[in-house]
Amino acid sequence: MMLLLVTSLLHWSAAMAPAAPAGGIERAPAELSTRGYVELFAEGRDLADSPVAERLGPGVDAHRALARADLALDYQNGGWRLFAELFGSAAFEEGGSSGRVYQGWAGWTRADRKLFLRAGKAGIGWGAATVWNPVRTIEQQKDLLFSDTALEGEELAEVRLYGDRGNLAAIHLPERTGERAALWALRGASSAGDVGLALSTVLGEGADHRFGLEATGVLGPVAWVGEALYRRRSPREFVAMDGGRRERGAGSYLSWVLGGNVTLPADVLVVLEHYHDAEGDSAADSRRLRANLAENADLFDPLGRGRDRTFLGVSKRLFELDGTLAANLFYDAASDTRTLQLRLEAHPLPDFQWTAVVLAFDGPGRLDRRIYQLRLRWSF
Amino acid sequence: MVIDRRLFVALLVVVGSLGTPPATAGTGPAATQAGASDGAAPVVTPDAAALLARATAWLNFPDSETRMTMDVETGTTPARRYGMRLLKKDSSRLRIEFLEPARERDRKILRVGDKMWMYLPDLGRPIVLSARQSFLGSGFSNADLLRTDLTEDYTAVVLGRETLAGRAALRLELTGKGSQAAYPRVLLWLAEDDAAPLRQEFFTRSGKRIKTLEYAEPKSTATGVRYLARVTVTPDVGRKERTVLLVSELLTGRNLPLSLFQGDSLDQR
Repeated sequence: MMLLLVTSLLHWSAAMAPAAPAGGIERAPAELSTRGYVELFAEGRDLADSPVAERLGPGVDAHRALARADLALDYQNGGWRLFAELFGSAAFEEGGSSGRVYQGWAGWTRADRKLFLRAGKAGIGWGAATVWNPVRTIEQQKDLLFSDTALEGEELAEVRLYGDRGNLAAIHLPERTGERAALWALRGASSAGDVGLALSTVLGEGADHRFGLEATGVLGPVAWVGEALYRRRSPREFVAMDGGRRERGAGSYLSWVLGGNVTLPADVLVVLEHYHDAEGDSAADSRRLRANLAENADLFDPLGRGRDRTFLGVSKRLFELDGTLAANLFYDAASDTRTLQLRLEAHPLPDFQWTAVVLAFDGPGRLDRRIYQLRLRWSF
Repeated sequence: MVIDRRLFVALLVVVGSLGTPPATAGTGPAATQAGASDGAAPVVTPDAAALLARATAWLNFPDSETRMTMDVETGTTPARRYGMRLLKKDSSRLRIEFLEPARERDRKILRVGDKMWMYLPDLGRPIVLSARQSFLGSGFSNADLLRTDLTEDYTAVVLGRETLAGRAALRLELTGKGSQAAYPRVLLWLAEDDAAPLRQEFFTRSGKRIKTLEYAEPKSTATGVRYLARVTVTPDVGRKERTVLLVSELLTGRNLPLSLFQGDSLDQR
């Protein structure tokens, strides 16, 4: 199977090879560009003095303050490109610090831009929906509630081929000791009329087989998105929360997300998405989790882990502040819980930004758990 | 394995569709530009459709690269300046790359047909945009900058002649062709001698004026392509800011590769 796919890719690549470079974008002979930021981040948590909160570790401290920095270095010379993104944070009170290489890869683009190769640690970025991406099964999801930092990439080698109306990417992810067998991922994207389509799959020895579909389009004033993921799960042993080893059964699951956005008068943007996660918790699972973890089950995943979740986001541009006021509501049907995020962002100076966030989610009462965040960021 | 074969067939279908070149619009910008270049003689019988095509030729350049800055003046805070590069393959494929300020660097916007995406480096993938959304909090909407082929979105009738900014002008009324037109009704003033757009007023369905665009500083490239180097937008509803777009450089005949105009290429420079 894999041999057939690779042979097809190579054959198609050879067929696309141009007689002469297409010209177009001129490349700088050698150019180093940088971007990044330094920020102060403070967070306070009002969790109703629950004793369970203490058991949940440092992530639920009553308050914390951090200094964080991100630096991206991008060197390009002809068709070659070296890219690295470094992220670090230091806690003021505990005094601890950490640093990570979020991305670090080398890439090459052929002169006609129809072939792109890269290897190293890089982001993959599948998915069309705003909040939840069922097809994004290889790398971690962006957590919309704590979306201030970039995501860490995956170690991979990638070949991307471009045609006139679409592209095909083959990604190899090496084995990760104790976590993952070697994987192959394929994704083809194209447009059919006013609908953009992408098909993807993740294959690997002993791994779950995953097949994804992404679609985007425009219907009147609405820009719509849809994703579906079919997952055929193999039986596998895993370690449960109580430390015991359990066997996870085989199964087939179809998860999907459907939604869209529309701009109303006065520059109000409305985003509505519904996510059906076939592997999410049932109502019974959700009740069991909440019973076992008393009042803090939602701290594990404030957006819920139920099978049906809905997101409604309303945001408005604030022109005088050069900013945005947003209200985002997440509803988890299985546990009948809500999470509300209010976010105010402003740019008093071009490269200076402050952001205030209030997160409220259901505890014993409606929206009675709160997290407050304030961020001051300088970009360079 | 059965499913693997099905997926393989589906992938082959996608791959097969990649090599098919897209259809081009019936009213090509190149053709309208040629029309504009011989349009120095005064218009005797105003043909609204032809006038609209000639006006579009001042705004719409296939296979072009434009460097521009956008200043947003609110009156209460310092003016915000954005530097950007606009790459245009044809009237339905455009890509904007942001160069300044630092916080917007590497952000990109792409339009293909009616679909628009924005790539945010922090997010690592493109998200779907709405055409009517404000462009970076400016007086422009995404459609104002990304849908510049007026013949594609509007039908026109000539309302009359008048003088505007000291020039003999024709006033046209544009009506949105379908739901993709960002505005249901637009008034367009263009110079009677060369069809250069002078002013546009945009209206809601209820007839309320939303904003006014004023065009100025006609210039020519070294190859004789004419363009308007300054566009000012003033909103009428709810806000007081003014946005000025200044074109610093226009390069045509770039023969841009189609791969630049795909959502999956936005993570590449």
